[in-house]
Amino acid sequence: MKKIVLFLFVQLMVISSVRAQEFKSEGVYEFENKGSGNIIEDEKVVGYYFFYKVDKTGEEDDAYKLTFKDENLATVKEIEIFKRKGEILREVIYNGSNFACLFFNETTNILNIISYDKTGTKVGGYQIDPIHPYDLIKFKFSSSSLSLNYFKTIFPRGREGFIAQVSNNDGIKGFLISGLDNKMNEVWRYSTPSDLKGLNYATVMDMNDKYIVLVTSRQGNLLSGKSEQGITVLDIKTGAKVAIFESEFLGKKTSIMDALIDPKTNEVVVVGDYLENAEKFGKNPSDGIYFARYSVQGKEIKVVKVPYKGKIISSMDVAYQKMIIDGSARILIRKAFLPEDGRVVVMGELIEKAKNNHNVWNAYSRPMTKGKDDYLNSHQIICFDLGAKDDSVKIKTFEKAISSYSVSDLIKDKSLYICTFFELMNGAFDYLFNSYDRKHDVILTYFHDRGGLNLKGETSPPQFKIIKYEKGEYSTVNFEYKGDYDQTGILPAKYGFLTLLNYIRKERTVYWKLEKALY
Amino acid sequence: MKHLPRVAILFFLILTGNLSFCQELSHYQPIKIDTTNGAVLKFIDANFKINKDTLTLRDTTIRGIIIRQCSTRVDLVKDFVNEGDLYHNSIFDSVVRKVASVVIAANPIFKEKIIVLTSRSLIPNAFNLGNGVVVVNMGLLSQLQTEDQLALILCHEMAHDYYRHVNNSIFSYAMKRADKDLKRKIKKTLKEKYNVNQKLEALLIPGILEDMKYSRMDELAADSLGLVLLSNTNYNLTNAINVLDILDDIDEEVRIEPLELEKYFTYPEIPVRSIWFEYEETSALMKSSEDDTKSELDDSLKTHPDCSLRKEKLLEQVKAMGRLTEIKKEELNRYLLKDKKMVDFEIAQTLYDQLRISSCIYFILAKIEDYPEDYYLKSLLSLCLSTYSEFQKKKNASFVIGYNNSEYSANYNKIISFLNTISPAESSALSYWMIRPEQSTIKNNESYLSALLLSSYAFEKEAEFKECLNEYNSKFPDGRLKKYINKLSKY
Repeated sequence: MKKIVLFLFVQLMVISSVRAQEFKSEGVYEFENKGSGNIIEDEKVVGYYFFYKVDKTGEEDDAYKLTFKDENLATVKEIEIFKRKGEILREVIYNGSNFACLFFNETTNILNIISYDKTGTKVGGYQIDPIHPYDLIKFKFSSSSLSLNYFKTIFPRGREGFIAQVSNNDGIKGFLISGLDNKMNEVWRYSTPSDLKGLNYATVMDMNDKYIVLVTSRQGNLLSGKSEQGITVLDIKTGAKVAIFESEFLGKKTSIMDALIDPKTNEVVVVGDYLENAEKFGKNPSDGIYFARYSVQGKEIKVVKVPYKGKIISSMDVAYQKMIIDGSARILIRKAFLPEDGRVVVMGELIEKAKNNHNVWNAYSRPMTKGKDDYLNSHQIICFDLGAKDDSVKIKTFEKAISSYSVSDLIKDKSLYICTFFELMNGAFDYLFNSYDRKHDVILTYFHDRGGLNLKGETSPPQFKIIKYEKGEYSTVNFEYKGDYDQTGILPAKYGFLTLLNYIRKERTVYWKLEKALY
Repeated sequence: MKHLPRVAILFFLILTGNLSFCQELSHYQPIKIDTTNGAVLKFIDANFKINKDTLTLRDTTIRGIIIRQCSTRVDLVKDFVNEGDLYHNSIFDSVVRKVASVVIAANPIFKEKIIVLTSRSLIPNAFNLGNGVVVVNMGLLSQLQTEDQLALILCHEMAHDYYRHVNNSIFSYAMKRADKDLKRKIKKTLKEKYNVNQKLEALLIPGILEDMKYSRMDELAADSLGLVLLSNTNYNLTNAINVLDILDDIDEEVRIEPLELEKYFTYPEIPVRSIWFEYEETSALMKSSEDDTKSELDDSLKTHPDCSLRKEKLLEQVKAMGRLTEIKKEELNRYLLKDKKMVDFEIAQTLYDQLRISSCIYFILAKIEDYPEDYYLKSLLSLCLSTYSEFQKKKNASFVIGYNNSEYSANYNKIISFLNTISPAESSALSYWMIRPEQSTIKNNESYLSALLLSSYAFEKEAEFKECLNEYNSKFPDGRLKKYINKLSKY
């Protein structure tokens, strides 16, 4: 292809037309945060999607535009979509060759996954109807595509297609994991009741070019607090079952918060909470965090436990110790990583269930004028680092202002564990995103410090913070922002950057800006 | 005789002083910004009075719109003057004025009715503001090869003025804005429930397309009359119309060979990180969509017809006039502004003044090898980096540098990537160390002293900063940096 070479003046014209290095999306009649997010490939931000209403077109449908932007905010493609009312875009996944967009119709409860190629041409669709009530909660409330895999529906299946996970309601309650090609044809299907009776929930946790790791559960799900979780490994090409882990350790006294395939050894690394004596997470606070390693066939290689009343408490400031001891606070594991040196790095957020509140936020990051009676207070970001050769665990805490999230009346009597999951689904808490730069072997963790006091009485301004983890060393950078961008949002961006969005309703325009935060 | 030693010393001082003065003068001093161009303001006041016919218009809406548009136009020119955006008594505006005077002398109907201004803007353009004001941008001027070409451009803009195209378009705009029927339809559409935006587009697009059609017709008319005006002079018409080729070929890169950034940003005092100079086209999404053929805007939807079409029509006209001549190649391989160094440095300075830091660095690096004897570009490079570091510290770096884009040249992308990689501390250190070795010899050069001043501020050398500040204030009381200095609040 002929390389376009521009004369300097042409560049100047381009620059002068995007005053202050901002990009504009014009004609934005209406949009919501759910309709915009990052396009991720191989754990890195490679672009953004932005979905917005351009016109009301009739009783049944409206005109929308779906814009894909590259990591430098240049528009790659704009797709015009006529969409039925009540249909919302919930997820966009990129597999290196195609985009899969998940539309959920709030009126009919039908899910549609539409695939577009890079030229913006629709190449296929996959409909899931009806879906299970468990998933309805997920689609109706879950606010962010950056949240746990438990709340996601589509994943890349190499460059060849996608994986869809839902609980079906097709006569018999059960789960459905579908391997799709880029045209959304179902290549394989793994589900109950056809395979394993008794398993009633499955979540895709990780995949490589050979395997998919699923967390499966018996008896209810995580929200019920009764789950007995385990690991199932599938062949990514055929969907055939490779192994169901029959581990003594994994079971009803452990939760699985993340599970990863080690790209070098194909071993499966599982992290989560464990109970020492108590039986159910629904009633009891966890006793610690564990790291477990298994062969892909499910043979246990090692389990390392990190007890709260021990290593964790001793790593914390005195101000935080009391709430750990009395069980009112626990670490919510957000993401695990396997750096090149063989360590396991886990990022978590310290959450407390309390009657007192501080700076109260609702699910969409807007302060609430009036709080209720029960709150989840987010205190710190905590990183665990499990050594590659020995079983030593380093713990590092990162301060931020306390932010409070009011707990729904529906679940306020439930345990911290259940409340935390429910609120997380609504978009609560301050951890935002992790990216892993394989080339430089650097993990970046983004979180929001909403400003105010922390438990030690120190104050901080509203800001984003980025933790950089590189070869066992941590460094942090703060990105203070003025109120302008708080209204619409800040998204994690390509390595070291943040993307700032500002919607000026009067102008029907969203201004996009990319700002370097980390050097 | 007893006074001889004193005279000798005085003579020696004068001589050595002159030597050092000459040495400093050999380094470029940017053209002064002049905000007191009385002639322009006088012309504007005399020629931009609202037309009597307008003032007697019965329709108050139309009258109001026209008056507002006209006063906006006056404000625009006054802003040009007040912001120092116009060259005044420089080599650039003098060449434009010289050619304009030849054209006006040959076409006396324009005598005292036209004022030709030269703007610092780097956009390759010239335009007519109506009521006798023609503006030529530096971005266009620097690309022209001969006076013939500049003359044609001036004639073209003067033809627009003669035909009152700008005033007619203001009137037509006012008529449309005041069109009660259209207003009623818009109001009705806004109240509708569905497809409001689509219907609004349907209402407004025919008007926009009609304007484009008229605009294209106006361009062809101005071309034609412009050539007639030019034919009254002795300028070469065939050479003149080659200007359209220049406008067509403007997308040529300043520097083709790959830039080696290491050469310009490696100093013993600063540890270099290898990632500074790493640039890979990372935009997987954009790369993947390259196969998608970009649709070019249909010619009929452009306000200006294609240059090739315009040239064809003008050539026919020149033939009909019997003025077609053969052009020697050497006549085309030159620039109208012969002092290329001054043009290049002025472009670089304008880029810096406009805070286009990444573009300025790109331009400096593309040109710096051409002028090894002059320290001006290196001073400006240091200024760029110290200014950039201040924006970085305020988390607002994107205000002054571009974003990587696969449509930009690899060299420009490399510079953006480098700027994004260096930390605020590194950019201020680079700005500081790159100009330190020469400070004893050229401190009387404003650009160099500015660079010393800002780099010591950015690199937090308080004592040095204060010393430079005093020196700058005493040597350059009206210096370019004056307006920024007050904002430097750290000390």
